[in-house]
Amino acid sequence: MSKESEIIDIIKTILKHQAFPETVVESSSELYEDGVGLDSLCVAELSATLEKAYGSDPYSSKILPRTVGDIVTFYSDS
Amino acid sequence: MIEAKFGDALARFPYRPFLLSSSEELTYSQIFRRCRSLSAYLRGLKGAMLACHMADSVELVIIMLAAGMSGKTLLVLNRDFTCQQLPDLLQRYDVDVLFVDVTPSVKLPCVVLDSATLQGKTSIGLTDGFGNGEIHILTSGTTGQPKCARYTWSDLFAQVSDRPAKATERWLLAYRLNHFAGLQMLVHVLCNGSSLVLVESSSVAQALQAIKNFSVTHVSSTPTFWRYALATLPTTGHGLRLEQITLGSEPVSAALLEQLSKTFPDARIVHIYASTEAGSCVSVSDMRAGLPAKILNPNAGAAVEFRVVENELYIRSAHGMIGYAGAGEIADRDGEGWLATGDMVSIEGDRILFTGRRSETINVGGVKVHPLEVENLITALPGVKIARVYGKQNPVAGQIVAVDLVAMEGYSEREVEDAIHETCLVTNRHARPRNINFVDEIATSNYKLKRQ
Repeated sequence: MSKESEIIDIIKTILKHQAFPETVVESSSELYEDGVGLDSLCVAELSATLEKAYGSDPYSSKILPRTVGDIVTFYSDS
Repeated sequence: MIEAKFGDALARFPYRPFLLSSSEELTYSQIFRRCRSLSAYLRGLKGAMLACHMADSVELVIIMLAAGMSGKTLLVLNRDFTCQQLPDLLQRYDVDVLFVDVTPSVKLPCVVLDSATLQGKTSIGLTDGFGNGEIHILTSGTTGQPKCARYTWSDLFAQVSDRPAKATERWLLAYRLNHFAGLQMLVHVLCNGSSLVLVESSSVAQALQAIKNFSVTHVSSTPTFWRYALATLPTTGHGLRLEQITLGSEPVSAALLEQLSKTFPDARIVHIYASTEAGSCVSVSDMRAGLPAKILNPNAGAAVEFRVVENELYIRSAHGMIGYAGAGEIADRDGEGWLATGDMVSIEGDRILFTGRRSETINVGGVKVHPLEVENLITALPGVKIARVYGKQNPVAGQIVAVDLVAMEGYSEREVEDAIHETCLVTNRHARPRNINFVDEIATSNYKLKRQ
């Protein structure tokens, strides 16, 4: 599975945990209100899940990704 | 005080077993004789402050009781302290004489006596009645640095209601004697004339084996102990004939009470609220979690009073500890004697429910989350052997709710994780776990979850 697919999977799982309605998540998807709909608590979980999976995460590195693709780029750059 | 309790026991049942271990069985009469001889010897030792660094054993019980009979003060140290930790502890509490069961490998700042050499030590010409020695124990330290609580034996005895035991009543010592609950267990047995079974190991499996081997009828231990025990015992056909299960030292959930009742349908199930500082405060046997709210309006002159201030439980106890030993250790007690317990509660209807420790409150994006509320939901799920909920630092929310858990065999991680997320949908969104970790074991101390 590619890094992009893994990250999309993580985001979908977080939405499922919160019983949010299913939505299309792709590389260009905006992460927050106007896009996938992650709120601050979901973003907190995303940060923790990414850190657990990959040992680092953009939020802990003081980077605020705007799209799914920004997260993928964070890992491809690091 | 201790002599008087022995006097009562000897008048009624001198040959009833008091202490049982894998290697010996000693009656009240035999233990009293050894305590009396040793107390005379201890009385002659230089210095007022004694300590022991020993595993739970018949010898340790005899030293504890003999020290009390001699009027000297005894500090019971956790045997898990290493030799390297001892010099600092002994200096901090001004110990004059230390009893050990293993010769320390470092030089210690006091007289050191091997407990094996104490048998037969005695002095003549000394009589009973040397007063009410103190016994000092360290708090469990599950949430930080332990403190040393000072008790008089008379206060410990005053916490026990006299209820003469049947000859067959046998308690398992499932707490260590350096722990308040273990000390309370010893005092309870002595006051009521029952028998106490000592186990060498602190593993739950060995404790369960000892219950079988010694025909134990009464067990007092923590909810964590019982969660481990229930994970290994079949619901029926386990062969344990328990008449009473007492739970303490940690809050008890309704789910655990129900599981215990199913597994031990003939046992009376009691949970106790006690703390090292306040002592034994109240026991509840109505099979509901929490405490009855009516205890907030006690009768005049009650030995223990409760109140709730800003969701924290406060206790004023007539027979609690005298105070802490050691310079600079001050009890969190106001001028009127009210002790802040650090236990956070909510009052729901006629019940006081525990939500967690003040020091463990998790701040998720400015919203306070009490870990116990979440932990109770998770530990009630099939497939979860034991779980610990805590706050984990997070760059977005400040803290998030994290869970470490041990899964039962036969359950996949995915299955358990999904069940946790689903069951936690009933909680406030801030309280939902955001980080779930499957681990092989969760650290415990004296069968309590370690929470630092």
